[in-house]
Amino acid sequence: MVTQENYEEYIMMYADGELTPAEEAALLAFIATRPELENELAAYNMARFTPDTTMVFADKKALIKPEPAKQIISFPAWRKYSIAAGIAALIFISFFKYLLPGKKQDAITSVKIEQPHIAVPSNVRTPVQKTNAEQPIAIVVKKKSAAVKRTSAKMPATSNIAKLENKQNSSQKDNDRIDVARDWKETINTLQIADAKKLESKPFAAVARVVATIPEIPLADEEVTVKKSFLDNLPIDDLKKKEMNNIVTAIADNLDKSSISVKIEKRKLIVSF
Amino acid sequence: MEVNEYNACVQEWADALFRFACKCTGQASDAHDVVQNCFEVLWQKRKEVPGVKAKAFLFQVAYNKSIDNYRRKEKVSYSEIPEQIYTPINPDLKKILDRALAQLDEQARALVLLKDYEGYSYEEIGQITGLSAAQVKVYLHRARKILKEYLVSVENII
Repeated sequence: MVTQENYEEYIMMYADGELTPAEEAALLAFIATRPELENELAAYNMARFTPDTTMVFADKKALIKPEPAKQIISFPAWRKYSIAAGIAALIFISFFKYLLPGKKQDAITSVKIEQPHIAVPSNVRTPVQKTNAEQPIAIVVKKKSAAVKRTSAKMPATSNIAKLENKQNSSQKDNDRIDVARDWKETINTLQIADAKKLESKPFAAVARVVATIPEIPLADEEVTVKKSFLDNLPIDDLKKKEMNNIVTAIADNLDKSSISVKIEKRKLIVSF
Repeated sequence: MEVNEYNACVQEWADALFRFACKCTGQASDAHDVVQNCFEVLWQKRKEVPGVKAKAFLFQVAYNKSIDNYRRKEKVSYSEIPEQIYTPINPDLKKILDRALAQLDEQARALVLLKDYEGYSYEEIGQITGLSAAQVKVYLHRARKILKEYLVSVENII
């Protein structure tokens, strides 16, 4: 607190810039009540010195010491090229090892096909899809059953079927092999038949049962990669691959038809929708 | 402290040291010698002085050199300071303040200059001068009172 006894110390500390804002406010309030002290405060303020910045030391260059030159370490030319080649090799290897999507397709562990002798003439429609990684899958050509309807109503994959159909309608037959391979991969990944045993018991049921353990496969893979990684890498012989391809092609070509018929050896199954 | 840090100190603090030494010694030539001596000492002890403490170290050396110089000559005549090396904003006030500063002893003058020119706190001034913060405060207040009384004396009122 500023009093008549200590105000001078406060004024000098004010001149020294050592007062806190609160102390400074208290001092100024005290002086405001005693106008005779204002001249004293002004005199202390006047007794402060400010540096004259035009006054400079003109001989700084004599004080400057030479700085050592920076050392530049240079590689020989062959070392530069070898480093560049090493980096390029690393990028190349990394690309083939990790970036090629075909590697992901190799994750398919097993595919087993039953009923190998299937001839699919035409008018085949894709079955209902289901997204289950490890699920007995059967391609069944029959009348649209209630079970199939139930499954399709429950499964959100119905929209995938529509996409698949649209996709297949726009594809060319000559190029179907690649497209169908991709769609077949999608189909296998999602196929589900509700009551396989019931269907097998019918006289014209043709079933190609595929048991596959399939991980999540990205749909945006390159077509060529899908063809190689899936069909060509299946652990089955070429005849079975050809038969499977026939099924795929038939389904893909007749997705927009209202009925399909499948002939297996001497038996024939006609399904109308 | 590396060479580049030392050179940065020269660029940054040589002028302030020169102004301080000039006021302490009263002679521009003596101030020049003081500044050169300060940086010579700093160069010799650059391995021991970190960059952040270089300024305080320089002013400590300048304070000691100025005090020694003052005591050697025993008297300072501020009329010897060449007027052409600087142009004060208000020449009349500047002369009066110089005369007021001449009323102080060498130590009080250095304390006032360290406080007003460089804005050091009591503790920092104590570290530079080797005094305690309380001593610095007492000496500074004593010096302020002398300066104020000089300025308010009838013959020195502007």
